[in-house]
Amino acid sequence: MDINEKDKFGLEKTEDHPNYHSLGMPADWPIGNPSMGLVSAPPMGSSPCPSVSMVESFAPSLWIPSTHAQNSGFCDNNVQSSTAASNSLPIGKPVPRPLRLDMGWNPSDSSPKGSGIFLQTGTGVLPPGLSHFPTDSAFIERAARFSCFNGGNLGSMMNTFSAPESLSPYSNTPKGVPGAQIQKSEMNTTEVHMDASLPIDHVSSSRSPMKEPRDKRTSHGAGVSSNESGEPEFSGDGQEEAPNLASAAVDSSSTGLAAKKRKRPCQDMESDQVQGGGLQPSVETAKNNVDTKQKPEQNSSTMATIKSNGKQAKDSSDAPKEDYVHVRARRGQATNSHSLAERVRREKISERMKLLQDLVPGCSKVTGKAVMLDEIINYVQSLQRQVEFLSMKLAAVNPRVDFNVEGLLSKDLLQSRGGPSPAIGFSPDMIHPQLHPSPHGLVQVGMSGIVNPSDALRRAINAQHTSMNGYKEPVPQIPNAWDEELHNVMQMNFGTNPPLNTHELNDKPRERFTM
Amino acid sequence: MSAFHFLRALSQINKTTPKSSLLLRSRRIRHAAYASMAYTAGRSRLWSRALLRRLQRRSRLRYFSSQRTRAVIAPRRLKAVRPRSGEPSRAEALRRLVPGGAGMDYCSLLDETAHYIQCLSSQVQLMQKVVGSISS
Repeated sequence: MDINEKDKFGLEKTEDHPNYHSLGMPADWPIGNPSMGLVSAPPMGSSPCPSVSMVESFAPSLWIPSTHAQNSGFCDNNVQSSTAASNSLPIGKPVPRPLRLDMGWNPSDSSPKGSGIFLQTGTGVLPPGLSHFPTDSAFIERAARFSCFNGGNLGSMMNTFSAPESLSPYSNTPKGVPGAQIQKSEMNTTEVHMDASLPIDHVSSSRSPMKEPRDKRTSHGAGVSSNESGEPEFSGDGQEEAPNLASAAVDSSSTGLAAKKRKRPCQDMESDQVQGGGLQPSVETAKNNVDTKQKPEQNSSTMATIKSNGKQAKDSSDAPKEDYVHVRARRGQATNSHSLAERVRREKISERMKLLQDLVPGCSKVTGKAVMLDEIINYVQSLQRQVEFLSMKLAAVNPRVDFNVEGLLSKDLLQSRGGPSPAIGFSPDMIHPQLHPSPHGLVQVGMSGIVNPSDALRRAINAQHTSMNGYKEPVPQIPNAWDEELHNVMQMNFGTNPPLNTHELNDKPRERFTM
Repeated sequence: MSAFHFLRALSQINKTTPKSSLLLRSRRIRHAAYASMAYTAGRSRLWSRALLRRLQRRSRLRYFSSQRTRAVIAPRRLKAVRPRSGEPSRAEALRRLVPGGAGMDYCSLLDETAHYIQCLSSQVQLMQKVVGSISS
């Protein structure tokens, strides 16, 4: 689906971890699916939608709990439609659809228990971390509370999401959407830890779906209580979410936000809801990944805490699956996913700048990125100029010294690092012959000029090795491909010369003997 | 590792073109220096891959070049590095300096720059030692 692709694409943008998208998506999918399965598992026979559609339809289904009663009527319709065209079903639906969609799952449940069903089944199906997923009563309350907040924000959310979607006739009804959708979105946030990609399909269809991705993105897990706080956050995220929907920031920020929100519950939500208590342990585990204290921004604090409660369980279970770093908003800093990703990026950049500062000599006193950057550029330029100058010097000096033996020696030195004796033993043999253009003469002449340089060469080689190793760059085993490539490069440089062999050096030293 | 390759290339240059002009030999030595540096760095680095690609392209052109092609490749057409957002303006200059820098984002550019600086400095040290050992 386009939305999914966008999400994936956005995920790839994460700077932090290139494997975000690969990890985030798969990681999220299973999570989403279990929750989907939660709804669909019991009833799934009616709508065997693919995971994507399932997730999408599931998202809206989460919103329903409060509006469950009305949806029951829709359910039947949904069931039929869902069975018919699973993929297109969730997305194309108008605003009221989301209700239906999730009701579509409900009928399979065979009872309009709504949130209760979701929660209970979800509990069974959700990852272990979410085993203590809150039950429906508190969830419904929060959903109701959540709905109040979403009204103003949903419109903007919808607009942002509807842009990419052609299906969103509801983009123009930002406020029109009933609170039910708000509740729905809230449900989504609390319950489903889905990739942003998942809800995207729904986004166009309704506001709640739009909220959904954000919700899912920001707060995984069941923190229904955090609905209120989550709403303003969602609205804020909505705008940026569309473009960033799939960005890696989603994964990281969602995880981060989730982690952030999870942390809140620990701090603030102790007394809040039942869910908070249940999720505390997961919060703790989630906190381990995060090192920030967060300051709730406006209402988001409570919302975040509540949501994080639910999400923590999910995230803590996600944490081991995902490699990326969970980032939390620090105290006094903005908490939306966009700025979180920005902060992560800035930290990475500053960390790299510090590394560079150590590399470039004389930069320890320099402060500020601009000046530092100038220094780095100057240093690189000076190094490149030095290479040019030294190559000129070597070209001028070269004819005077025979490099054959040097190359040979260096090769011996390199190959027999553990056994310097062979190299040393080799030298006396070389020195043995007389000083005329005989097979050994060349070597001897070279040797005489090199007796001193050989030590220098050894030192140079060793120094280079240590310096290279200092960077923790493993000395690569020469793969055949590289060897050929190097040969190609070198040969091209030298014209039609055959590849240099040390054997050749030994066997045919009489060629081009130069003094 | 790179010392070995560089010295091998040096000896090859010495063997093959002892009588060619200083300029030609110095260019070949510079080519060999960069090639051995990139080869040693391995395929895991962006800049080494880009550098090898560039060297291969140039040497291939030079190898097969006629008068006309040489005139064509001589004026280096600098592809304009468009200023990207979210990074300092000086990053463009850095991108031009580091091989393969145009295609990277700023964060990996800094990473590659660090590694490139390390390899460059070690290569310079090696060449200085070779020159010192030869001239002593």
